Amino acid sequence: MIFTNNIKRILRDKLNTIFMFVVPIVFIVLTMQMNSKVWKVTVGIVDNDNTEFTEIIKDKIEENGQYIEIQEGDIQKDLIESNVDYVLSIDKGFTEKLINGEDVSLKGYGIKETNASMPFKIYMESFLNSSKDIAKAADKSSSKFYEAMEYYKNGGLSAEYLTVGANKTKKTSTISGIGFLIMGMLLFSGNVSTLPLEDKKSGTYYRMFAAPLSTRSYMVQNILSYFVFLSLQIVVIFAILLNVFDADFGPSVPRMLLLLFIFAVVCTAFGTAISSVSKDRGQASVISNLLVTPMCMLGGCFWPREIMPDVLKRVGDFVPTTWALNGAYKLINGNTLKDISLEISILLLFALIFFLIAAKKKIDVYN
Amino acid sequence: MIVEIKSLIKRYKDYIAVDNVDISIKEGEIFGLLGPNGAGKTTTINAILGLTNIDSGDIKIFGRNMRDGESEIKKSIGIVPQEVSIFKDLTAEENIAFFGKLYGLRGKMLKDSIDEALNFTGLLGNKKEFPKAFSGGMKRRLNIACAIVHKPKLIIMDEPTVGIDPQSRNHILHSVQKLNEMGSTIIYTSHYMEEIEEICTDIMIMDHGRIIAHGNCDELKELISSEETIDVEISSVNYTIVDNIKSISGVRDCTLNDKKLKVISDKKSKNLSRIIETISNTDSEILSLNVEKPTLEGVFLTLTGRTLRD
Repeated sequence: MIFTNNIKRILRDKLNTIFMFVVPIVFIVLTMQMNSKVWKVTVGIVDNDNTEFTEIIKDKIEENGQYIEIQEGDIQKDLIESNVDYVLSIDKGFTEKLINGEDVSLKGYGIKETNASMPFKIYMESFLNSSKDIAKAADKSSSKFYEAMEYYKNGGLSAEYLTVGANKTKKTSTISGIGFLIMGMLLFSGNVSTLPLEDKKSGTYYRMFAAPLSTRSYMVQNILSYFVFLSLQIVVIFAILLNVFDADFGPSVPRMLLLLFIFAVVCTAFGTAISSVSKDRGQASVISNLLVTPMCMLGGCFWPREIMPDVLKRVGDFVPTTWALNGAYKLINGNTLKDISLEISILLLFALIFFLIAAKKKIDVYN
Repeated sequence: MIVEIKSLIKRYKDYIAVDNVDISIKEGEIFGLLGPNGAGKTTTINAILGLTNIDSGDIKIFGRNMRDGESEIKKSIGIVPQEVSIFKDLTAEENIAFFGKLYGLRGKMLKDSIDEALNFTGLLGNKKEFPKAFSGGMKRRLNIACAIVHKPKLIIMDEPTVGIDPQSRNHILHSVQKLNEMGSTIIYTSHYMEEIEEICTDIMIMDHGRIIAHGNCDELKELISSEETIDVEISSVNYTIVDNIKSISGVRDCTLNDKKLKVISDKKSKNLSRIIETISNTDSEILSLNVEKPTLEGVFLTLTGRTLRD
């Protein structure tokens, strides 16, 4: 009775529809629009290093734009005169330092960072981070480094973070879409799981327990109803991503669905925990918003984690969104469920922790 | 006995909400629990329903302890909570259906029971509407409909008429009597003594967690007074009237205050006609006469020193 009653009540609350579908879809559409545009930037390169690696950088730029070689002294002029959208300056010795494992960075100059040069900037940062990882693995050996870079160029490496190959843009868009779906799931669960708080406020909570209804049955039916709706949310958003945006979920859509259903369990537990520690719906809403936004930011829902400082990346390891998106990344790039067993285990651990928090505050009818 | 409570104690930290209460309710009664706000009425009700843990005491419903078959016992109880406790996002019909299912009704029996409950409470024409469109009285009636859909043997009504108009209030009181005629035992709590006086066959008065009086209406009124007060307004002041009335057998006191006589007399002396005759024999005319009867409020005031609405 509680389950079917909840179905009616959840469907009739417009806020739930907004969190379930409208919010993720709006963000997905915006992101898809942004990512679908290949960043046709003209990049000015000041190459003071002139190595095999700097040539690789130039090849990378040409995959999605174009570059021209400019002089150091012409940077400002070329930017002001719009001869270039962005300038990349590579210092002498850059490649050597990179291979030796030193922390290097590329100098970038731009005045139009809000338009097409921003995706390029993000991409280059991502590419540089991957190159640093490869350099670390190569252990200061130039030959090993370039061998690995060759693999990387050709898409042979199952890089955890970067998408490679011809479907790079589509995969990036898909990950963004999944990120916003995850955000929508957390927001929805934070809102819908306040039904018991609403019941307490209206008095129906106490009335229900005056009837032959056990607290266990009440909680189980509530939790089941949240999970069903989260699953529905996943299926609908998935259908939209696949059919409207031609998303690329990797070789197996069922694997991705399973990962997200597991995340739905985490969201159910998260919402239940918030509801149990909150006095009323208002408080639950505040707590939910205070937690969901940082979780999504740290987890990489809005931007790639690679561009975040290391400190924030470490903090992000303690939120479930990180592990959900890590798993999604791996699945998109061809990994199996076995390869993401760590991610799945950690997600289930988060679910357990949230359920324990919820259970600690026992259902107490009147005392 | 349909309900038997022995030595019930319920504490909230240092505060004793129910203090050693004994209650026995016979089947078929309309049992009134009268007392001011904070007397312990709702706590006692919650203890009966198993909604609150008790510190000590024994509670038996239908001859059984709640621990032995809570589910079966609860199926035969209906509760009309003090606050209107309905789902605002379900229609009237859906609200009643939900509680009907909660109490085990299914299929045709559920459908018929819903219609009967709606009809009984006068909400059949509003069944598809949401409670936000209802007046206060209609919400209270829906509150009752949800409690009676499963035709419970015991109905507990916790202050069901608070904050509603007199017409709806009368409708509810008549409904209570009808439900009792149909076979349900009713526990009715209120701080409105007029309601308790009107419908209850057995009454307990509660204050500060204790039972301070028990009996039917007449028995309770007898507790405080074997006297009656007669208020007479006369046309002119005549100071011999007071002495003449005082000399009548059974009159305990007589005072005159600005053409208004107050005569306190022994009820059993039945001397009203003599008092009237004594006044008529003077130059004064009787402009108005009122015999004050003791009320439950008066009983409460006598027993506690406070009014029910303090």
